[in-house]
Amino acid sequence: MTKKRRPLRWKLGLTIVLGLAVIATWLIGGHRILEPSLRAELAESIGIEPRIGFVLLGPDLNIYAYDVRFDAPGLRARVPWMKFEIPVQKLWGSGSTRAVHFRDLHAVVREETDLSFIGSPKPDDRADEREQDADGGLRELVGERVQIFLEQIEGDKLVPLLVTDRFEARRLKRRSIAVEIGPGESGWVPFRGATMRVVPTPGHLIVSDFKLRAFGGLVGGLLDLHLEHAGRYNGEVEWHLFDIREICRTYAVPYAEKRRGKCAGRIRFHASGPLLKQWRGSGEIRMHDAHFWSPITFKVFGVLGMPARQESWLHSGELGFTVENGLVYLERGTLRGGEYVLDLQGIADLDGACDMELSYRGTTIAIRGTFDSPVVKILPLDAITLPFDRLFRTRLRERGQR
Amino acid sequence: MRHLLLLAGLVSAGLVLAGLLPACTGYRDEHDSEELRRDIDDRTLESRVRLALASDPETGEERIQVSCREGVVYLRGTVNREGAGNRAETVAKGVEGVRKVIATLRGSE
Repeated sequence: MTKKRRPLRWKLGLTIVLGLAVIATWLIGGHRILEPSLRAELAESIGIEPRIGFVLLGPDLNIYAYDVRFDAPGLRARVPWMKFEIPVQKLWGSGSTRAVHFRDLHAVVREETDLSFIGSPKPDDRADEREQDADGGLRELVGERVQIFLEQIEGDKLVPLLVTDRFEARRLKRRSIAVEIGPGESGWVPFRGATMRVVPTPGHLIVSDFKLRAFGGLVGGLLDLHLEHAGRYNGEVEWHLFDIREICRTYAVPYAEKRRGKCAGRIRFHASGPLLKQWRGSGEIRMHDAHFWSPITFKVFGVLGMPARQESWLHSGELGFTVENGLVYLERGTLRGGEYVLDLQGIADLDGACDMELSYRGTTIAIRGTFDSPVVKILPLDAITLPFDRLFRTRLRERGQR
Repeated sequence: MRHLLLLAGLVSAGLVLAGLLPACTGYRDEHDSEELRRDIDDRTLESRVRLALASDPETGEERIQVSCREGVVYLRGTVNREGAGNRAETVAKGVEGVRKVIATLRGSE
């Protein structure tokens, strides 16, 4: 019995990267977000009883860390429990709060560490500091149990962005940070492990060399988070060898047992703000050696007079798409099977409503309704009625733009 | 004869509509898609250049603004290190997908 999950959402899936990038930067230092008050507390704590109860950074950024212990030599710091409260407006521009919880967190610091590296770099010392960054400072951070939640004020609800039993971050040269995460789950996407490099630059936080293992395949990409504009980011993601059956089982897609094969693709995206309508993207999906069955294929083969089987074999298929105003525009789609080659184009929204056309040997088939309950009919080859028929297509687009 | 002319008129109107309406009510105007793709590709290229500049030892600390339009990368800002401007141009040119680099970087002194 597969666990029922909510549908995969691109934006939420990407929040793992945003969350990790910010956490790694805050914890390992080297970015201007941190205020001097944090380093003062940390430095004093080493000299006296090494405990920190509560650190307030500015009016709206809170860090809670309890029972912090530093062991010499090697300055190994252990934080059994740590919690961040970050106002999400800084990233998303909406009214909810993001909470980051760490348990059994520990960090390894070099003996000669000067904790002042956490603060802002002095412009005069840039050249010297570059070398110091490479060797000194907090160089490693390990979390044994890390949970990051999107805490929604309305409804008092916690949405898990990342839950994992292993989180490691290491400083690399030139201020970049290597992050490694064990198996876990993020934004309803289960994964078997992830690695990435976090590079803070003026006004931007770039996550590069991102690799995540999920659905039997590999995801890689780049994310550029614009720190000076809430909710603005862009990047690209590629995925290879995704197991279609595993995806269908994970999200409890109907007829999952009748779908299998491999899927690869690429998407480039840009979000100008936190709203779904401000998210745009373009990309391609490729499938090969797939077996599938759906109400759409059943009905399409029916109207074409082809035998409707339990499963249809897809030798290969490609589909280009763009996303804008909450609508997915399907373009340049070609599906090749044993006895057929279908060309596809259309529009779909994120609730599963679709309005598509398939072409097969000069016959055009209209597919409307939803993916689960489609209405399929052959369009007449009528030069006069076809354009009028297409007028109805605008309703989906208008609905998306509202 | 009049009926034939009327019929011919209707057929002509139908053909005109057949030619025009799909272009304005289709799933997506090809131009829109291409424009969207180009814009997003440019933004991705900006990020790649930004990453390359941040990863280079000579330009990593400089505050260089990067923008891109149709594969042409524009570098603006003020650099502190001697030679960082030239280095930034070289680094940007080395990024895959960059057609041309136009740098208007100034030294801090």
